[in-house]
Amino acid sequence: MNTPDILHHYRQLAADQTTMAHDWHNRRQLHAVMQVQELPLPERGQESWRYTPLPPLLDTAFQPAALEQDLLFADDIEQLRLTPAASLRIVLHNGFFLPELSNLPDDGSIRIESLRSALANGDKTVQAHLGELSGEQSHLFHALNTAMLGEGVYLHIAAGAQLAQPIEVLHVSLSFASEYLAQPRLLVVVGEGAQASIVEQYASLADVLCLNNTVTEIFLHAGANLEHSRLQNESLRTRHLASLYVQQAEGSHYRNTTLAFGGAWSRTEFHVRFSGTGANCRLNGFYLAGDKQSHDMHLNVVHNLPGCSSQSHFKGILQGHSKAVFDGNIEVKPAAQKTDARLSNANLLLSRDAEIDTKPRLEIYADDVQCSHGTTVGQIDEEMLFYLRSRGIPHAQAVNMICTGFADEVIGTCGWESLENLAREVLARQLAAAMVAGG
Amino acid sequence: MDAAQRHVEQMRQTGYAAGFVTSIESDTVAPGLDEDVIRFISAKKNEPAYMLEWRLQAYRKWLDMQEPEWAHLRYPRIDYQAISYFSAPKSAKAAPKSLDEVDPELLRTYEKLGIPLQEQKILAGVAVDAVFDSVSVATTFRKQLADAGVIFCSISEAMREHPQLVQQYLGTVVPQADNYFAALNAAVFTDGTFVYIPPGVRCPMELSTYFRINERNTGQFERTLIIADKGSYVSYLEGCTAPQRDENQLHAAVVELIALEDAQIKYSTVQNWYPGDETGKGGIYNFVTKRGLCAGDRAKISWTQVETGSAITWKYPSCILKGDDSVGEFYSVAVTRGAQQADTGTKMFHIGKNTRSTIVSKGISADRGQNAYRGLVRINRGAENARNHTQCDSLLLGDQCGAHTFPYIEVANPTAKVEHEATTSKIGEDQLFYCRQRGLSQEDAVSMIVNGFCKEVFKELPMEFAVEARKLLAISLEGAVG
Amino acid sequence: MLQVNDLHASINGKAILNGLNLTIKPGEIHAIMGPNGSGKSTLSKVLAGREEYVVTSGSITYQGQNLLELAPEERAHQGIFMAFQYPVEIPGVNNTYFLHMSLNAIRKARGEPELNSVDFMRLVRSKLKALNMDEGLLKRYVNTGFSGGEMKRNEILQMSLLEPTLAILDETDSGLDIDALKIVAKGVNTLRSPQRAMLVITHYQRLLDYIQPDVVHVLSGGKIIRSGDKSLALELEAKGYGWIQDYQEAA
Repeated sequence: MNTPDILHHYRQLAADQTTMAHDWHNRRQLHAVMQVQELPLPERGQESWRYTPLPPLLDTAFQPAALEQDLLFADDIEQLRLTPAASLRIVLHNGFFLPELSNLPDDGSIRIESLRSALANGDKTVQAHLGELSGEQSHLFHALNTAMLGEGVYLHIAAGAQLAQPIEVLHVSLSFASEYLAQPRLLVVVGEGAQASIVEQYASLADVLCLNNTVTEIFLHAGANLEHSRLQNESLRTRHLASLYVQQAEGSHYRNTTLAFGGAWSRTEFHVRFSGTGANCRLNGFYLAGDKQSHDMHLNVVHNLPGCSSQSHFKGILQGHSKAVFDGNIEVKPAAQKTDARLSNANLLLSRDAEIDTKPRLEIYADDVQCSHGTTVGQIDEEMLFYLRSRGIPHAQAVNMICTGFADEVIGTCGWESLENLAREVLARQLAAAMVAGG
Repeated sequence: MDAAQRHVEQMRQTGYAAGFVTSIESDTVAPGLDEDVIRFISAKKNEPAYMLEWRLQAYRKWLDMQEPEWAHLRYPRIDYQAISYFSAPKSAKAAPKSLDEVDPELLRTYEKLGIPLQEQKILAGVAVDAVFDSVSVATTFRKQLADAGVIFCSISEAMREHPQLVQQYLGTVVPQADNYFAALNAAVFTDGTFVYIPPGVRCPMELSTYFRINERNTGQFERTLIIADKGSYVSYLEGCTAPQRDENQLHAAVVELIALEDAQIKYSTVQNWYPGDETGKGGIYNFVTKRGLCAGDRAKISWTQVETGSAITWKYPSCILKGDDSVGEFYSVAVTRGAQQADTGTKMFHIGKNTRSTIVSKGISADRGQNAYRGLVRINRGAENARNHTQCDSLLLGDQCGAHTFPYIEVANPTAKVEHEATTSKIGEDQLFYCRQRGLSQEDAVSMIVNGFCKEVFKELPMEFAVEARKLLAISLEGAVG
Repeated sequence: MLQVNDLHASINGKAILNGLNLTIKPGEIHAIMGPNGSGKSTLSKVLAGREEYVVTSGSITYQGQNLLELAPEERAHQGIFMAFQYPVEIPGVNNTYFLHMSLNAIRKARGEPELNSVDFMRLVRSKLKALNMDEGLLKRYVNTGFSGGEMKRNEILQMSLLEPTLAILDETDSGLDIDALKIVAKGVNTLRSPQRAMLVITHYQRLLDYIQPDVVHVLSGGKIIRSGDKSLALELEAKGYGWIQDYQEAA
């Protein structure tokens, strides 16, 4: 299918929403439908898509997934879960929220419910927040997610709540169909002074061609603290587009660790802005691109208010015929005095056929700021390798050891051991596989 | 108001030291651009037929091109039909053989700028090919250079006297239609400099050209071509300043450097064109394409620039590192104050094996100045063991200005090692206080700190140029720095 | 030479000095001791003219003039030198160049002829020799990448070059090993003369083993609560600063 047809396909999908007897609970949803009619497909000429390989996104007219009953069972969840069985758990199957497989709270401090029902019930918070962040600087696929909003999830943590255990969010891809489009949607609101952590996993139980177009919006109220770890470990035929929007109020803390292992093609966008001063945001990322894989990481951290800080730390390893893109943007607006913004990106290139394109950008309009970025691209340090080998460690194992150490600086920030261990296993497996394949 | 802001305020109120106009009659063509104007320029320069054809080709390509909009710059649309594309001082027709024959008014202009030709001739041993508007009017030391086999002349002269060299190399590094401004330059360039250093020759002196834009509404389209043959060395100095004007003046120069095997070219620029008034009105628009090709193994090209002038600077002196073991360097100081905007940086293309590049960029922003570094480091698949180190620092003076860094790093070879660092800072109150406690005035302290910030770049300039650059920086940040 | 009367000073609206009185005569060495947060460093910064510190009341007279009216560099020109507790890094600025600029600025203000590079280097070398310091420091950028000891030695070198009338040493001894401490002491003792005065601010008595003070003051809560001779320092050493609290409560 050629690109004009693909564009027409998605416009039609969005337009169809208007014919379904929709109650437009959220005007932003209607607006998104209109946006899809106007926005172009992503193309290389747009700065934020400059290095992204586009065919995986544009060569197939993905069809919206349908809710397939009796496909996903409790046993599957048992196998995939990373938190204790009794922990709060949100399960999404191809983007559809499955309450029956989830573990829902029974006390009042945490609310987990379907977005659609929250909207239908006239929930004021959801009305106010849904689509508020994702609507800005939108591209076609953000708008498409909002326009076709299905059974997404609304997670609300009440002011002052202190959660001892993480909330697990499990996205499972599994279908009899192929070339389907899953569009998970999450809205997270963390109340004033509340503290919580989220352990999120994207997993595939079938190896089919699909596009996972996910949008997550997170609002942190004053003094809130959220730790958010994400593991993307989908099948090698999956195309994964994740957009994360975060808004932080005064004195709030947000820490995100994103680990990208799976998918033929993955792109993760982080959009952060502040609605109060003195907030801190830490973004950590690791990507491992094996043969025929590509990973993109896009950061857009806007310091629009004074006295906030952000530290973004991304690392990647590239093997085989692979590609990675790191596009880190930090903008410091004129009002944002006393900003402290740090950005770093380090890459290990292990193959002749790998390519990394990285552009760490600083755009600064205030003078009393501390901003820096550093980038490195290289292969494994020969001296390090030699040192290990001189201690009797075989070459392959030494390489493995160095790569693991390199990655662990990021993996170790997840703060949830079973997630970290799974990530380490996946890393070890992929490194070993690449080693067998000859780098 | 803190000390740094006060300092900026003082700087802002200082006028532009080089703002004066020399009155010399010019032979100017009516504003506008079409094929006839190009034919006129070509005829006026007594060019061979191949050059006219080449110009017309470029013009036709330019007509189909779009003015780039990706740079971090804002300026009103340029009306290319309102520009006059040719002007030559009348005295040029007399083709002076020595400085004595040069229009004394012209010499006085240089003197006001602190560039006494005579003195330089004696003291520094620098050959000066002074370009006034668009035509070379004075060339010195021709004989000494000729003895060494060095060709140093205007490019129009080279087209007539050395057609084989011009035809072989012109447009090989910056193709006719490389970009919008380069294509325009190819169509209408009026003059510029040509240098050829024969194999194994170390050019006996530093070559230098002072540019000066003088004519109202006259675009300045220089074209420079420097060829360093095998094993040769040349250091070329380019410095420029322009008098105060009300209308924006477009400058779209092209510089091509070719270094063959084991050759080295060092190209240094001090750019101090009129930046415009406080609102940016009347300043020069500087859209320059500079690129060097390390064609042979072990060739080296080094760009050093001190950019303090112009309302708009759009400039990315680049190196194509084709030869194995070739080296590219870029050292830059860019100052933006008032309403000045600069989008400048470099591109390093690593193609050959063991190629190395170094980038050091120092941006200083004051008032409402906007300073952007934009750089590309590309390591191709075959560039084994390529190395790049980039250091990119910004200094902000005042809370109205901006400092931006847009690096692009593309690596397709695992043996490459690329490092990029960027920092942003302001002059610390504690630094100022420390200096003042030791008896230095606020102005001297600021000047000292800023010069320290630029040190890594200034040390790359030839000695006499470094002195001038330091002086220029002081004048640029003047008010306090008397 | 220096007369501080009922000095009140604050930073960011927080009062640090609360009615400090101090008189220093030519030829004297005064030591100021006191616990952390007592206002020692604030006093030195107010004397040197750091603008963040606001004098809310009181006066400082130096050689018959109102010191508070002078800019920091004017105070330096008048012979006030402060050795910083935390000397500031100035990247890219050569230390020799900095010293030369500084000395000439002060000479010029005093109406003395400026020194050319040759004479200046001769002078610096003689000072280095007198202080048993090597030339390595000169070639580096001002304080950039210096160790704590190197920074303090650099401060003393500057002091001996600029030959101040009133030298203020702000905890110059902190973090120094015994060799560096001796260099500091030597620098101070060499400068000692009937025309000069020194104000040595320190947390520990240790430095006073090498520099004999004429008067020792104890600073607490932003004012001097006790003054005495050298024995006061030894008493403080023996009893610790906790004793001050008891002393104040008793008084």
